[in-house]
Amino acid sequence: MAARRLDAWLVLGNRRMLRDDLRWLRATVSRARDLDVLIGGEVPGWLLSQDLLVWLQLRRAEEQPKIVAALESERSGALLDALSLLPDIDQDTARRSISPIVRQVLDRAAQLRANDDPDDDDLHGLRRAVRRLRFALEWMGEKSSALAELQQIFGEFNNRVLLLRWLDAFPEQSVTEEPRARLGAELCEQRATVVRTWQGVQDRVQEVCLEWT
Amino acid sequence: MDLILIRHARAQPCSEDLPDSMRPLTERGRRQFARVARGLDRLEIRVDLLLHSPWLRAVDTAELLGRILDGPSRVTSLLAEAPTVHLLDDLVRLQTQRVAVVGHEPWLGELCAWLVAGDAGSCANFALNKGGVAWLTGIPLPGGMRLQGWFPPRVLRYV
Repeated sequence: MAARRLDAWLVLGNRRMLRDDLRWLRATVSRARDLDVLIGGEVPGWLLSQDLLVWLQLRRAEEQPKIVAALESERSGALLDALSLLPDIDQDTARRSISPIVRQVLDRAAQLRANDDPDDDDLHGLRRAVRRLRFALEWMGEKSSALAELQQIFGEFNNRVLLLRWLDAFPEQSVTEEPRARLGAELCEQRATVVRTWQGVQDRVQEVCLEWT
Repeated sequence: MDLILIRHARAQPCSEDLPDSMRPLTERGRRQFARVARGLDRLEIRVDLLLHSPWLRAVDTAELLGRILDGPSRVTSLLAEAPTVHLLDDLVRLQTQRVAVVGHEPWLGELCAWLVAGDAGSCANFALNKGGVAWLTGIPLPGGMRLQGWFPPRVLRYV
Protein backbone atom coordinates (compact mmCIF):
# COMPACT_ATOMS: atom_id res chain seq x y z
CA MET A 1 0.00 0.00 0.00
CA ALA A 2 2.83 2.37 0.88
CA ALA A 3 4.49 1.57 -2.45
CA ARG A 4 1.27 2.43 -4.29
CA ARG A 5 1.00 5.72 -2.41
CA LEU A 6 4.59 6.51 -3.32
CA ASP A 7 3.88 5.63 -6.93
CA ALA A 8 0.99 8.11 -6.97
CA TRP A 9 3.34 10.71 -5.50
CA LEU A 10 5.90 10.09 -8.25
CA VAL A 11 3.19 10.46 -10.88
CA LEU A 12 2.15 13.76 -9.28
CA GLY A 13 5.76 14.87 -9.47
CA ASN A 14 5.77 13.96 -13.17
CA ARG A 15 8.49 11.43 -12.48
CA ARG A 16 9.02 8.19 -14.34
CA MET A 17 12.24 7.05 -12.67
CA LEU A 18 11.91 4.87 -9.53
CA ARG A 19 8.39 3.79 -10.51
CA ASP A 20 9.76 0.58 -12.04
CA ASP A 21 11.70 -0.05 -8.84
CA LEU A 22 8.54 0.39 -6.78
CA ARG A 23 6.73 -1.94 -9.19
CA TRP A 24 9.46 -4.55 -8.67
CA LEU A 25 9.14 -4.23 -4.88
CA ARG A 26 5.34 -4.52 -5.05
CA ALA A 27 5.56 -7.59 -7.30
CA THR A 28 7.98 -9.20 -4.84
CA VAL A 29 5.70 -8.76 -1.83
CA SER A 30 2.27 -9.01 -3.49
CA ARG A 31 1.71 -12.73 -2.88
CA ALA A 32 2.65 -12.36 0.77
CA ARG A 33 0.38 -9.34 1.09
CA ASP A 34 -2.55 -11.27 -0.39
CA LEU A 35 -1.90 -14.20 1.91
CA ASP A 36 -1.66 -11.91 4.94
CA VAL A 37 -5.10 -10.52 4.13
CA LEU A 38 -6.57 -14.00 3.85
CA ILE A 39 -4.87 -15.42 6.93
CA GLY A 40 -5.30 -12.24 8.94
CA GLY A 41 -8.94 -12.86 9.72
CA GLU A 42 -10.76 -10.89 7.04
CA VAL A 43 -12.21 -14.12 5.69
CA PRO A 44 -15.31 -15.79 7.17
CA GLY A 45 -14.65 -18.95 9.14
CA TRP A 46 -16.73 -21.20 6.87
CA LEU A 47 -14.25 -20.54 4.07
CA LEU A 48 -11.10 -21.32 5.96
CA SER A 49 -10.92 -24.95 7.00
CA GLN A 50 -7.99 -25.87 9.22
CA ASP A 51 -6.34 -27.72 6.32
CA LEU A 52 -6.67 -24.75 4.04
CA LEU A 53 -5.42 -22.35 6.70
CA VAL A 54 -2.31 -24.47 7.32
CA TRP A 55 -1.69 -24.69 3.58
CA LEU A 56 -2.00 -20.92 3.20
CA GLN A 57 0.36 -20.41 6.14
CA LEU A 58 2.90 -22.67 4.47
CA ARG A 59 2.60 -20.70 1.23
CA ARG A 60 3.09 -17.50 3.25
CA ALA A 61 6.19 -18.95 4.93
CA GLU A 62 7.60 -19.70 1.47
CA GLU A 63 7.27 -16.04 0.58
CA GLN A 64 9.13 -14.75 3.65
CA PRO A 65 12.71 -15.38 2.43
CA LYS A 66 11.89 -13.66 -0.87
CA ILE A 67 10.63 -10.59 0.99
CA VAL A 68 13.64 -10.47 3.29
CA ALA A 69 16.01 -10.85 0.33
CA ALA A 70 14.24 -8.07 -1.56
CA LEU A 71 14.21 -5.70 1.41
CA GLU A 72 17.88 -6.36 2.14
CA SER A 73 18.88 -6.04 -1.51
CA GLU A 74 21.07 -3.34 -2.93
CA ARG A 75 18.16 -2.24 -5.12
CA SER A 76 15.83 -1.64 -2.16
CA GLY A 77 18.53 0.35 -0.39
CA ALA A 78 19.16 2.45 -3.48
CA LEU A 79 15.43 3.00 -3.95
CA LEU A 80 15.03 4.26 -0.38
CA ASP A 81 18.07 6.51 -0.78
CA ALA A 82 16.76 7.94 -4.03
CA LEU A 83 13.26 8.53 -2.63
CA SER A 84 14.69 10.28 0.41
CA LEU A 85 16.65 12.64 -1.84
CA LEU A 86 13.73 13.77 -4.00
CA PRO A 87 12.50 17.30 -3.38
CA ASP A 88 8.90 18.19 -2.52
CA ILE A 89 6.45 18.50 -5.39
CA ASP A 90 5.22 21.99 -6.10
CA GLN A 91 1.47 22.53 -6.49
CA ASP A 92 1.69 23.61 -10.13
CA THR A 93 3.45 20.39 -11.15
CA ALA A 94 1.01 18.31 -9.12
CA ARG A 95 -2.02 20.04 -10.67
CA ARG A 96 -0.64 19.47 -14.15
CA SER A 97 0.27 15.85 -13.46
CA ILE A 98 -3.03 14.82 -11.93
CA SER A 99 -4.89 15.24 -15.22
CA PRO A 100 -3.91 11.85 -16.70
CA ILE A 101 -4.86 10.18 -13.40
CA VAL A 102 -8.30 11.81 -13.51
CA ARG A 103 -8.65 10.99 -17.20
CA GLN A 104 -8.00 7.33 -16.45
CA VAL A 105 -10.85 7.26 -13.92
CA LEU A 106 -13.20 8.95 -16.38
CA ASP A 107 -12.21 6.52 -19.16
CA ARG A 108 -12.70 3.50 -16.92
CA ALA A 109 -16.04 4.87 -15.74
CA ALA A 110 -17.19 5.39 -19.33
CA GLN A 111 -16.10 1.85 -20.14
CA LEU A 112 -18.15 0.52 -17.24
CA ARG A 113 -21.21 2.57 -18.19
CA ALA A 114 -21.04 1.28 -21.76
CA ASN A 115 -21.06 -2.29 -20.54
CA ASP A 116 -24.36 -3.70 -19.25
CA ASP A 117 -22.66 -6.74 -17.82
CA PRO A 118 -19.20 -5.61 -16.65
CA ASP A 119 -16.67 -8.34 -16.07
CA ASP A 120 -14.06 -8.50 -13.32
CA ASP A 121 -11.43 -6.86 -15.54
CA ASP A 122 -13.66 -3.79 -16.03
CA LEU A 123 -14.18 -3.53 -12.27
CA HIS A 124 -10.52 -4.04 -11.45
CA GLY A 125 -9.54 -1.42 -14.01
CA LEU A 126 -11.79 1.11 -12.31
CA ARG A 127 -10.61 -0.02 -8.87
CA ARG A 128 -6.98 0.66 -9.76
CA ALA A 129 -7.79 4.02 -11.35
CA VAL A 130 -9.86 5.11 -8.35
CA ARG A 131 -7.17 4.03 -5.92
CA ARG A 132 -4.52 6.03 -7.72
CA LEU A 133 -6.73 9.11 -7.83
CA ARG A 134 -7.52 8.78 -4.15
CA PHE A 135 -3.85 8.51 -3.21
CA ALA A 136 -2.92 11.40 -5.49
CA LEU A 137 -5.60 13.63 -3.97
CA GLU A 138 -4.51 12.68 -0.48
CA TRP A 139 -0.99 13.84 -1.30
CA MET A 140 -2.56 17.15 -2.26
CA GLY A 141 -4.39 17.36 1.03
CA GLU A 142 -7.80 16.50 -0.46
CA LYS A 143 -10.05 13.73 0.78
CA SER A 144 -13.02 12.29 -1.05
CA SER A 145 -15.52 10.15 0.83
CA ALA A 146 -16.93 8.87 -2.47
CA LEU A 147 -13.52 7.53 -3.53
CA ALA A 148 -12.88 6.05 -0.09
CA GLU A 149 -16.27 4.32 -0.07
CA LEU A 150 -15.70 2.95 -3.53
CA GLN A 151 -12.22 1.74 -2.76
CA GLN A 152 -13.44 -0.05 0.36
CA ILE A 153 -16.09 -2.03 -1.51
CA PHE A 154 -13.75 -2.71 -4.42
CA GLY A 155 -11.09 -3.92 -1.98
CA GLU A 156 -13.45 -6.41 -0.34
CA PHE A 157 -14.50 -7.72 -3.72
CA ASN A 158 -10.91 -8.08 -4.84
CA ASN A 159 -10.00 -10.00 -1.67
CA ARG A 160 -12.76 -12.51 -2.44
CA VAL A 161 -11.51 -12.90 -6.02
CA LEU A 162 -8.03 -13.60 -4.67
CA LEU A 163 -9.38 -16.10 -2.18
CA LEU A 164 -11.18 -17.97 -4.93
CA ARG A 165 -7.88 -18.22 -6.83
CA TRP A 166 -6.18 -19.70 -3.78
CA LEU A 167 -9.05 -22.12 -3.26
CA ASP A 168 -8.68 -23.19 -6.89
CA ALA A 169 -4.98 -23.79 -6.28
CA PHE A 170 -5.51 -25.88 -3.13
CA PRO A 171 -4.31 -29.44 -3.93
CA GLU A 172 -7.23 -31.29 -2.32
CA GLN A 173 -10.08 -29.95 -4.37
CA SER A 174 -12.67 -32.14 -2.63
CA VAL A 175 -12.06 -30.21 0.62
CA THR A 176 -12.73 -26.87 -1.02
CA GLU A 177 -15.56 -27.90 -3.32
CA GLU A 178 -18.34 -26.60 -1.12
CA PRO A 179 -16.62 -23.36 -0.05
CA ARG A 180 -15.74 -22.66 -3.68
CA ALA A 181 -19.33 -23.07 -4.78
CA ARG A 182 -20.53 -20.83 -1.94
CA LEU A 183 -17.85 -18.26 -2.57
CA GLY A 184 -18.67 -18.27 -6.29
CA ALA A 185 -22.29 -17.46 -5.49
CA GLU A 186 -21.20 -14.80 -2.99
CA LEU A 187 -18.96 -13.24 -5.60
CA CYS A 188 -21.88 -12.84 -8.00
CA GLU A 189 -23.81 -10.98 -5.30
CA GLN A 190 -20.79 -8.93 -4.35
CA ARG A 191 -20.15 -8.02 -7.98
CA ALA A 192 -23.70 -6.68 -8.15
CA THR A 193 -23.11 -4.74 -4.90
CA VAL A 194 -19.94 -3.22 -6.35
CA VAL A 195 -21.80 -2.11 -9.47
CA ARG A 196 -24.66 -0.68 -7.35
CA THR A 197 -22.20 1.16 -5.12
CA TRP A 198 -20.47 2.54 -8.17
CA GLN A 199 -23.79 3.70 -9.62
CA GLY A 200 -24.59 5.37 -6.30
CA VAL A 201 -21.37 7.37 -6.10
CA GLN A 202 -20.46 7.87 -9.74
CA ASP A 203 -21.90 11.40 -9.90
CA ARG A 204 -19.83 12.38 -6.86
CA VAL A 205 -16.73 10.80 -8.39
CA GLN A 206 -17.44 12.63 -11.62
CA GLU A 207 -17.65 15.91 -9.68
CA VAL A 208 -14.29 15.21 -8.04
CA CYS A 209 -12.80 14.44 -11.45
CA LEU A 210 -14.17 17.56 -13.09
CA GLU A 211 -12.81 19.66 -10.26
CA TRP A 212 -9.31 18.47 -11.14
CA THR A 213 -9.43 18.65 -14.92
CA MET B 1 25.85 -5.50 -25.59
CA ASP B 2 25.61 -1.80 -26.38
CA LEU B 3 26.41 0.12 -23.23
CA ILE B 4 25.77 3.86 -23.17
CA LEU B 5 27.55 5.68 -20.35
CA ILE B 6 26.02 9.05 -19.53
CA ARG B 7 27.29 11.56 -17.02
CA HIS B 8 24.65 13.59 -15.21
CA ALA B 9 23.88 17.08 -16.50
CA ARG B 10 25.07 20.31 -14.91
CA ALA B 11 23.93 20.51 -11.27
CA GLN B 12 23.88 23.10 -8.51
CA PRO B 13 27.11 23.35 -6.56
CA CYS B 14 27.51 21.80 -3.14
CA SER B 15 26.95 23.97 -0.12
CA GLU B 16 26.53 23.58 3.62
CA ASP B 17 22.77 23.24 3.16
CA LEU B 18 22.99 21.06 0.09
CA PRO B 19 24.79 17.74 0.46
CA ASP B 20 26.38 16.30 -2.67
CA SER B 21 23.77 13.58 -3.14
CA MET B 22 20.91 16.13 -3.02
CA ARG B 23 22.19 18.49 -5.70
CA PRO B 24 19.46 19.06 -8.31
CA LEU B 25 20.11 19.97 -11.93
CA THR B 26 20.26 23.65 -12.71
CA GLU B 27 17.64 25.01 -15.09
CA ARG B 28 20.36 25.48 -17.69
CA GLY B 29 21.62 21.95 -17.12
CA ARG B 30 18.11 20.61 -17.55
CA ARG B 31 17.54 22.60 -20.73
CA GLN B 32 20.87 21.64 -22.23
CA PHE B 33 20.51 17.98 -21.39
CA ALA B 34 17.02 17.85 -22.91
CA ARG B 35 18.78 18.79 -26.17
CA VAL B 36 21.41 16.10 -25.57
CA ALA B 37 18.61 13.54 -25.18
CA ARG B 38 17.01 14.82 -28.38
CA GLY B 39 20.39 14.45 -30.11
CA LEU B 40 20.66 10.82 -28.96
CA ASP B 41 17.14 10.25 -30.22
CA ARG B 42 18.02 11.74 -33.61
CA LEU B 43 20.99 9.40 -33.81
CA GLU B 44 18.44 6.63 -33.25
CA ILE B 45 20.15 5.49 -30.07
CA ARG B 46 17.58 3.50 -28.09
CA VAL B 47 17.98 1.49 -24.90
CA ASP B 48 15.95 -1.30 -23.32
CA LEU B 49 17.11 -0.63 -19.78
CA LEU B 50 18.31 2.45 -17.95
CA LEU B 51 20.37 2.08 -14.79
CA HIS B 52 20.96 5.18 -12.72
CA SER B 53 22.52 6.27 -9.48
CA PRO B 54 20.19 7.21 -6.60
CA TRP B 55 21.67 10.69 -6.31
CA LEU B 56 19.26 13.42 -7.28
CA ARG B 57 21.21 14.85 -10.21
CA ALA B 58 21.44 11.38 -11.77
CA VAL B 59 17.72 10.69 -11.21
CA ASP B 60 16.84 14.06 -12.75
CA THR B 61 19.12 13.38 -15.72
CA ALA B 62 17.61 9.92 -16.20
CA GLU B 63 14.14 11.51 -16.25
CA LEU B 64 15.16 13.48 -19.32
CA LEU B 65 16.13 10.32 -21.20
CA GLY B 66 12.56 9.07 -21.55
CA ARG B 67 12.57 9.56 -25.32
CA ILE B 68 15.34 6.98 -25.86
CA LEU B 69 14.09 4.47 -23.30
CA ASP B 70 12.08 1.51 -24.61
CA GLY B 71 12.00 -0.45 -21.35
CA PRO B 72 12.24 -0.15 -17.57
CA SER B 73 14.61 1.81 -15.38
CA ARG B 74 16.46 0.63 -12.30
CA VAL B 75 18.16 2.53 -9.53
CA THR B 76 21.46 1.16 -8.27
CA SER B 77 23.84 2.41 -5.64
CA LEU B 78 26.65 0.66 -7.57
CA LEU B 79 26.70 3.76 -9.78
CA ALA B 80 27.24 6.07 -6.81
CA GLU B 81 30.66 4.65 -6.02
CA ALA B 82 33.81 3.52 -7.81
CA PRO B 83 33.01 0.65 -10.18
CA THR B 84 33.31 -2.80 -8.64
CA VAL B 85 33.09 -6.37 -9.84
CA HIS B 86 29.51 -6.37 -8.51
CA LEU B 87 28.59 -3.75 -11.09
CA LEU B 88 30.24 -5.75 -13.87
CA ASP B 89 28.51 -8.92 -12.63
CA ASP B 90 25.17 -7.10 -12.78
CA LEU B 91 25.87 -5.89 -16.31
CA VAL B 92 26.98 -9.33 -17.48
CA ARG B 93 23.85 -10.95 -16.06
CA LEU B 94 21.48 -8.55 -17.80
CA GLN B 95 19.28 -10.12 -20.45
CA THR B 96 19.04 -6.86 -22.38
CA GLN B 97 21.30 -5.87 -25.25
CA ARG B 98 21.02 -2.08 -25.11
CA VAL B 99 21.68 -0.55 -21.72
CA ALA B 100 22.29 3.01 -20.57
CA VAL B 101 23.84 3.96 -17.25
CA VAL B 102 23.65 7.42 -15.71
CA GLY B 103 26.30 8.16 -13.13
CA HIS B 104 29.11 10.36 -11.90
CA GLU B 105 32.75 11.17 -12.47
CA PRO B 106 35.38 9.99 -11.84
CA TRP B 107 33.60 6.63 -11.58
CA LEU B 108 32.12 6.57 -15.08
CA GLY B 109 35.57 7.31 -16.50
CA GLU B 110 36.97 4.47 -14.39
CA LEU B 111 34.25 2.15 -15.61
CA CYS B 112 34.90 3.15 -19.21
CA ALA B 113 38.66 2.65 -18.82
CA TRP B 114 38.16 -0.68 -17.09
CA LEU B 115 35.82 -1.99 -19.78
CA VAL B 116 37.81 -0.69 -22.74
CA ALA B 117 41.42 -0.83 -21.60
CA GLY B 118 41.09 -3.45 -18.87
CA ASP B 119 42.54 -1.03 -16.35
CA ALA B 120 40.58 1.57 -14.38
CA GLY B 121 43.83 3.44 -13.75
CA SER B 122 43.68 5.17 -17.12
CA CYS B 123 40.36 6.79 -16.21
CA ALA B 124 41.66 10.33 -16.79
CA ASN B 125 41.75 9.49 -20.50
CA PHE B 126 38.06 8.63 -20.43
CA ALA B 127 36.61 11.42 -18.29
CA LEU B 128 33.15 12.50 -19.46
CA ASN B 129 31.99 16.08 -19.40
CA LYS B 130 28.69 16.82 -17.64
CA GLY B 131 25.98 15.53 -19.96
CA GLY B 132 28.58 13.67 -22.03
CA VAL B 133 27.98 10.24 -23.51
CA ALA B 134 30.20 7.28 -24.33
CA TRP B 135 28.98 4.35 -26.40
CA LEU B 136 30.63 0.98 -25.83
CA THR B 137 29.97 -2.37 -27.47
CA GLY B 138 31.05 -5.85 -26.47
CA ILE B 139 31.01 -7.90 -23.29
CA PRO B 140 31.03 -5.90 -20.05
CA LEU B 141 34.17 -7.48 -18.68
CA PRO B 142 37.57 -5.80 -18.11
CA GLY B 143 38.92 -5.07 -21.59
CA GLY B 144 35.87 -6.71 -23.15
CA MET B 145 34.34 -3.62 -24.76
CA ARG B 146 35.19 -1.36 -27.66
CA LEU B 147 34.67 2.39 -27.67
CA GLN B 148 32.15 2.90 -30.42
CA GLY B 149 31.41 6.58 -29.94
CA TRP B 150 32.34 9.53 -27.75
CA PHE B 151 29.86 12.39 -27.71
CA PRO B 152 30.61 15.64 -25.91
CA PRO B 153 27.30 17.25 -24.90
CA ARG B 154 27.89 20.22 -27.20
CA VAL B 155 28.00 17.91 -30.21
CA LEU B 156 24.80 16.11 -29.26
CA ARG B 157 22.97 19.38 -28.66
CA TYR B 158 23.51 20.33 -32.30
CA VAL B 159 22.70 16.99 -33.90
